[in-house]
Amino acid sequence: MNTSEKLSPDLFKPAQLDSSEGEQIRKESVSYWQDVIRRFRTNIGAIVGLSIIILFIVMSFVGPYMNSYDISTQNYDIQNLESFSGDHYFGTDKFGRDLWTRAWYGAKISLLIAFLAAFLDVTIGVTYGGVSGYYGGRVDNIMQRFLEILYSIPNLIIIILMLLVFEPGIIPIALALSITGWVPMARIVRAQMMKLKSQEYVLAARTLGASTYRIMTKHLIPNVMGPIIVAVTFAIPSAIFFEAFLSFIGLGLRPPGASLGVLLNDGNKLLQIYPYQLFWPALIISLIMLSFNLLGDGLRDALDPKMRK
Amino acid sequence: MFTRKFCIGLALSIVLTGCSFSSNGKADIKGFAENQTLRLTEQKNIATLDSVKASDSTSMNVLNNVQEGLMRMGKDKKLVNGIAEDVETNKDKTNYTFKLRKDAKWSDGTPITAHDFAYAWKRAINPKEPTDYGYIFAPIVNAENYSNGKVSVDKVGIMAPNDHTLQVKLVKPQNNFLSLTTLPAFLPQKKDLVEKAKTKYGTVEGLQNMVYSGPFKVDSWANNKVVLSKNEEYWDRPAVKLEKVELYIGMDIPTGINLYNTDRIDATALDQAYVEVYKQTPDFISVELASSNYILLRINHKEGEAFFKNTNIRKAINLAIDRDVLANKIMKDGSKPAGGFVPPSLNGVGNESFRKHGEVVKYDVSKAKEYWKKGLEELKLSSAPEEIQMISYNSTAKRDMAVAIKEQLRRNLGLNVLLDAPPWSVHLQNLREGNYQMGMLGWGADYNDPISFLEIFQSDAGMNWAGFSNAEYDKLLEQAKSESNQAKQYELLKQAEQILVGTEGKGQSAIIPLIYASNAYIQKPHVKELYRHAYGPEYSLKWAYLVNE
Repeated sequence: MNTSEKLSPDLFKPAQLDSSEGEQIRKESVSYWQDVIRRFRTNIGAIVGLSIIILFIVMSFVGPYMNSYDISTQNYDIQNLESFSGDHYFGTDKFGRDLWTRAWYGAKISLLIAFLAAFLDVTIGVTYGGVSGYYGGRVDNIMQRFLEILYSIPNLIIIILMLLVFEPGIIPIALALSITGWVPMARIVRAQMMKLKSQEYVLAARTLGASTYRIMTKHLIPNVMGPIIVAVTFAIPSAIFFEAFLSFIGLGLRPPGASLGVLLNDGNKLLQIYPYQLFWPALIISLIMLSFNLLGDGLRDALDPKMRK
Repeated sequence: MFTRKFCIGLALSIVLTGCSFSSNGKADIKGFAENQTLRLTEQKNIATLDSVKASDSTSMNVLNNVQEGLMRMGKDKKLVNGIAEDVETNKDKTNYTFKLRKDAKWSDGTPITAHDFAYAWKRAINPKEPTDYGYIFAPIVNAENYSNGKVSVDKVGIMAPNDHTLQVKLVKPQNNFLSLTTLPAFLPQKKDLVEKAKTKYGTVEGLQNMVYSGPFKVDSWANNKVVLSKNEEYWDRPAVKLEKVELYIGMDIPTGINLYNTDRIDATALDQAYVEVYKQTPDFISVELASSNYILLRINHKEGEAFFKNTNIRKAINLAIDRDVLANKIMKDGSKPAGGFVPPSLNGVGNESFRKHGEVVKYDVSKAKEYWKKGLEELKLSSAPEEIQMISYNSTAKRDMAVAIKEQLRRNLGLNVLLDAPPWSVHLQNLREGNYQMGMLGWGADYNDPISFLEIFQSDAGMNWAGFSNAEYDKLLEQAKSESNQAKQYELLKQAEQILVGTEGKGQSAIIPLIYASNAYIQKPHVKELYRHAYGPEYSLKWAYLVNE
């Protein structure tokens, strides 16, 4: 009570209020992608995954040239050498071929097949899913039934039949993998499209007279990018694994070609005698699979705006 | 000459039985084990105990030890007498008269008669029920005609004038008919039992009613284990020392090796990966097979001009392959580099290997290059064609050989070969239909005769998938087939082989020989006198026994 009595009115001045000031953005503006990168950086697992992937991609090009051997020259004086004998860092196989060279060459082929298959998945899946989801109605109905029929046939059967018709090689294997591989991608894109096409900004664009093509490429696809990228990072390891599996059952590359699957198949037969011949390709394929999964996991978190803290 | 050779076989059997008679079998042998149970593995179960129908390896292996035919395969490819006590032949070797043992009995105590043989043999060529091995009776008069339904059964040259005499009439002189009689298809069968059991004969359901003529009988037959025990009615029972044989079924090679290392079995087969590990141990055994591996070259291609129609190209490929590498660096199981088609394990009647005259082709890169250049010039090609396909059977060993051959042809000739390894049935179909350029294949003999190899490349032979046709070759083989003097026959066959695989003189290099095959095993040192064979059934247990280690 005492203090209030001491306050005199001249102590108060009317505040100079600028109504625009409240609208000012103090913090630096962060775009969606900057935000994604920021969130991605904090995820240690994803960073490790990305680094290993980059390292392996570099090694798959550089590795085969790090010593003087090639993938097919046989030397029967040095059959089944142990790892780390001279410049045969991983040892040699039963034909005396250098395993280091073959392993990295194989990793390159496996990655190539996987990236090619993933690229085909994205191209077909996004187009198909986009059209189906955007137009909806009868178009969607027919396209989805076709897709379901394709998806209901076990993909192993389709792939094996494909590889019996075509000569096994990098492109046929990638084609065989993506013949059913695009289906999940198409489904993801279709679901996203259906969700997004009724959003206000699409409505606005349409009202302003934007063409369907423009709406698709400028408004819808960029907004579906997140789920697509995540799907790709999971599609790549599964393609690598499937390629390995095909080689493992004898439908892979022709000898003396090498892919990780071919090396695993050869190594598996000698597991009890020369375990290192299985160990190195197995280590490489495991690390690739793990890294892509960590990366995909990190990307999923980073690309989801709802995860923003 | 023939009878003299045969006497050696007879003498051997007397020696073998002799030593066991003197001592009741056991006391003589140092460290003879108390428990005479032998444990082996088989990859597949018995398909049938019906000797007429058996064609898979397990069935044939078991039948060889539970039944006995006229003759039996002994040690080192020597024939010893089985149920036949004596054999007489006429001068040109077209009539065989077998005198059967009077003391030979089935396991139910009834005597084994010539009628049992005649019945089983005729059953094998019955036109109503064709069998896989029916063709093997072809040397017998009218056997083929009867199985085609052309003549009645009483015209077939198999006769049993009394209980202990079996007469066989052959179409042509045959030096090796006795080696045929060791095969399961030539085993005897009891007519009344076969007819009573009908479809159950030789199956698990019919096991209690089965009778045995051999050293062992089947005690039990389950999915994972078959047990044999000594047949107490067997005529030569003192020679049989094993009491029991256990066969573990369905073991692949790594499993077999694990069981072997934990002392749960006494012997098992190896594949090339494991050969290296066990090769230096005393347990390692390599058995030569009557089988060789080779590459077929498609000579008269259905579509257009074939690359391999050119003889110089074929010769170049023949000379550019280093078989030493294939046998000693890839297979490693005792297989030998093949410079000819007929494997060294074939020795006809005597113990003289057909391969004694040496190999036909030798690895020679500079000569290969010369022929290659000449061939390309003749074909008006500036360089080797881009895509020559070679197909092989999809097994690790065959694929590895193919990979090594590919590298050799690339290095020596600059020829790039594409490798494909389809499943076995597809592979055979491709070869049969001429749908290949180069095709790897193996050929094995069922009986001891070089003709069984060389006749498959006669112009009209069903197995001649290469499309090889050479009038002189055909003539040489026809001459050899009707030649009863073995030395002269070998001379003719030698010339024929020179045409088939040779690169010099009349050599056509129609096929490219690779290796003479072998099988590798590991076997505990306490197993003695277990004989493994080059052809027919894999092993004989009659004389086997165990000692204490």
